[in-house]
Amino acid sequence: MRLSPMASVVSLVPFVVAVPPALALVMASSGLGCVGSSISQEDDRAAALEQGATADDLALAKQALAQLGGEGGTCRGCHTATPENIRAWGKAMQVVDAACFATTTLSPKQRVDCLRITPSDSASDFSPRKLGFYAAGASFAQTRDLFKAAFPAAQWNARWTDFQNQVGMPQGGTPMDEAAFTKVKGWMLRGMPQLDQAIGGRSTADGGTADSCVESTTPELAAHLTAMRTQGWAARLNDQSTPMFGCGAAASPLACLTAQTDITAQVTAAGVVQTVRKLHEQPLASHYWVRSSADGRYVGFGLNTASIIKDLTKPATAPLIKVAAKYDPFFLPSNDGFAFAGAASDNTIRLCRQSLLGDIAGQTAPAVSLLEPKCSVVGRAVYQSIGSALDGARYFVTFGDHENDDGGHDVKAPLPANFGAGARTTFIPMVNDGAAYRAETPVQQSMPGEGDVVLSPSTKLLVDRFSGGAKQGGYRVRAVRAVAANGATAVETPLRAQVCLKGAKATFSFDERFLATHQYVDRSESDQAALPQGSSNIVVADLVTGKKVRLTKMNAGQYALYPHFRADGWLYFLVRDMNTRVEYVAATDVAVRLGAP
Amino acid sequence: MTRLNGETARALAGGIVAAALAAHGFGCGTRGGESFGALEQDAQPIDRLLMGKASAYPADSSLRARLPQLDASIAERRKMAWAVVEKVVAPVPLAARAGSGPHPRLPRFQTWYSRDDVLPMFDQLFRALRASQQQTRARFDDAEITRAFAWNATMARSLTSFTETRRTDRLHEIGNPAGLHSLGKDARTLMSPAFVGHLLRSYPEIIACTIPGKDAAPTSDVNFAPCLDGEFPADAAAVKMRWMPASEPLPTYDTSQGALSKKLEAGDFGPGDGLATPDESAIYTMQLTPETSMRLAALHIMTKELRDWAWITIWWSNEPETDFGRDRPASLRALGGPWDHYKMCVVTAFDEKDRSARVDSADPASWCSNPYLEQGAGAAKTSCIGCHQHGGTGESTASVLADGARFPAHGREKVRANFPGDYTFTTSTGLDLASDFRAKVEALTSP
Repeated sequence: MRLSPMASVVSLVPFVVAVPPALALVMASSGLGCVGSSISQEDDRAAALEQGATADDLALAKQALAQLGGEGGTCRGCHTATPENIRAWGKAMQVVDAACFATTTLSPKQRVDCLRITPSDSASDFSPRKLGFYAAGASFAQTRDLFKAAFPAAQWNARWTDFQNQVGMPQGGTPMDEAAFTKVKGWMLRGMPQLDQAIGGRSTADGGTADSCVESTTPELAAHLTAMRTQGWAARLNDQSTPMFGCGAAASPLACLTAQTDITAQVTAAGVVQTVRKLHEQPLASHYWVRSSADGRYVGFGLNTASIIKDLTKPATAPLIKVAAKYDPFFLPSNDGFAFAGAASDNTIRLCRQSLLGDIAGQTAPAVSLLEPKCSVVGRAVYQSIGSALDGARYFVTFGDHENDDGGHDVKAPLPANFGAGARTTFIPMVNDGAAYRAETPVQQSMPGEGDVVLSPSTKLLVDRFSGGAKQGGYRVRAVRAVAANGATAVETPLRAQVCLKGAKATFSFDERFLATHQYVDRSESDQAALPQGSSNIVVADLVTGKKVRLTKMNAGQYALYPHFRADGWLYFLVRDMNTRVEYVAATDVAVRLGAP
Repeated sequence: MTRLNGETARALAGGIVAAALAAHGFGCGTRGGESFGALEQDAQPIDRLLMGKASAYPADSSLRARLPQLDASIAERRKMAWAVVEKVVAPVPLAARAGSGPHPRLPRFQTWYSRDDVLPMFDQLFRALRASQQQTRARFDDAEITRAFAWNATMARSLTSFTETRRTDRLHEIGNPAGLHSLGKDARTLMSPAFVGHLLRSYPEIIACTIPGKDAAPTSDVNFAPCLDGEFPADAAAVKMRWMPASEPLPTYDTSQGALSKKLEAGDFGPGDGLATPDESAIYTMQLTPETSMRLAALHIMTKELRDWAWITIWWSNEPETDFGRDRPASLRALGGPWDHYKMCVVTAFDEKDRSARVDSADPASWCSNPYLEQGAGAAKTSCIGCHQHGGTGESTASVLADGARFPAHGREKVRANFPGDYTFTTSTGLDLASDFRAKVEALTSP
């Protein structure tokens, strides 16, 4: 689900960061300054309500918990219903309710705009992070009636549908019914009385899932990395003479992309030796993550209501490939498939042969419906992670507890890692039955305190973020092993390394030696004290040497995001410049240099 | 309704080999969905190093003259087909050996080339062209292609991924039969040297192909394949396999007259009539990984010995001496291995000219379909030649089966006057080599 709590942000950073300034103005002008004026006042009010709670409140709180995070709960599978997360969803809802619904002076159109990320901009998108628990009610009467009143008869339904597409929760699962939503909503707006009691008085902080980070590695990881040097997807694609974008007849990856604009001096952090090239620039439009094909040729962007792919071999003026999906592009490490989540046809994840992009390359308006014969449904979730089998036998697809990360838009500060004791990740074993890889029964793996799982290209490793109390603890690297158990496949994930680094979802290089992530600046961290708040940078960690390098030095309002490798070691990332409303894809050779013998 | 006709039924009941047959062919398809994630990328250079160059398919140059006879007699056709099977599975010596022992042997088809072999060879050949030749898409000459095959057989040693330890480890893994059978891994499609040579020679046409309309006249009397440099040579052959995990029982299919009639009527072979757990002596098996063994359930064979190809398919059976296995020659058994556990059917033409072998007296379209490969709704009623006529056109199994108006009789009827890929799916839809060739050419020649 995309429902990623604004409130975890609330607990970490000043409230003014979580609430766009324009919204704060709206609230103030509506006489609701108290709502956004101070987090302590909010907490005080909630505390007072909780003190006065009754047995009915306790029963209601338990019902709400079951509805949200119980077995079969609405949020289960994507988010853990920790007290921190529930408070976050509820508090975000309270803010929106006060600003956009309770205020009597707003017109219906103003109320709709109030729900946007930037209320002063009628073209601004909507965000589940901002709406909090209201995202679970996006398809119900309250918002339907609002849109009906706000727009002409010929427009309102399309606009409401667009709103639901952007924020509706859950994405892919079974939604709440309206009566249940109304009941939980009422409880949340009353301050979520008896929440702690209902959950047994346990929070992440004392629930045994928040760990401090101790750097570690294992001989098993070292052996794996040694094997991947010659047998991983980097080696495999090189053995196949896979043509890498921008390399031509170059003998070394370091000689690639020389035709692209050199922006090294513009973005490089002090002391880092790298070459950075700008590959593609466009008006700011994308949301959530960006991914590229293993050969570096295609870059996929989710736009929230549609998606696009840029073929970097085509001129800058060439039309982009339109994709009928919302977001989360993904390209297989084997360079033969791509996927998107939120397919327009049925909101599923659809995986297509990469050759489909070549098939349509000659069209004047190239488009992929994801319904082509070269496409199949692989799941119904978001933030999917997919590997490719090296041995022709099995690979995995995963999705599970995660933090939504729409960098620069509604995420401008470090993401929480409130993965509670009940956090789970789903592993779908994809087994070769000789005709195709078929999905076996999904395995739901309990991973207390861990989420944002990303598989390595071989799917023999995963990396996740783990809770560290008030902040993220760091990353854990785990092996992924399939074991037979009572005629079914079970999954084991023994720990292989712990990397003490703050950041968002991480990705592996194709030789699985490097991790890359983006790091929203947190000036309370000693190594970031001099960096501008409201920016993010790219960080790389070397699992062999333990070395960590911050590659970029972004200015305030500039977000370097979503780094991901291509097969030859070049690292692509996106820069969203919220000041100039431009975004561009860049590539750095830093891992090629770090990995050179 | 499709059902075995009376003559076929009588032939079956009388134990006449020709009758076993009710149905034959390379059909159309697999059960829904595309496959991704390296299904065709399993062969590794070290395996090629151990195998050496692929073994050429020994074509029978007399077959084309015998086509009328083969078309008219199911018995003669089956005799020819068993002979092809024998040549395809015949053990051939490999390049590598452990110590001073004999060179290990593999069935000939397993030495053939996968996509993983073709792409590096293409890269090698194209890079060797001068810039001006690359720009004009100059054709590779035969001597260069011959050298590329030799280079491919030893290219592993030139790769950064190569280590002597990997080679000796792999040599150790192939020390027993199941390990040996894993050379080349479980890639689904393998191609003979002549087949691959023709693809490489044809790259200018492959990457520039504009698919002609179905009624467009062939380029000439001797070339109906406009997206290739002419038709494939007679020793071109290819196989498509289905390896199934040995961790689960193998479904079995009853192909007796009555059971097959019902399956054809339904249009679907279904999930199987029973289950079996054959061991390595009864079914061809490879040890794919330490944890995973795979059984060869089915093998399609196409050879260009006939102009419209000979289409043969074999499948494993728990009752191998009945119906489609009853006329298996003793010489196949003499090859050793479990090949006497496979049944076979064959087609050589769009129309079945041996009336006793028609599946429906009112339907002249030939039929042959493999229960392990032709799965899903309608697929049981297909035929290799019918589906493969669309090779290189962008049509797929799914699109052929989904459009009965454009592709009558479940795609078995001949609807094209030209065959862009000479009946092969290797350039588009299947292996998508056209896409790979094009990407390579663009990468190396773009300004």
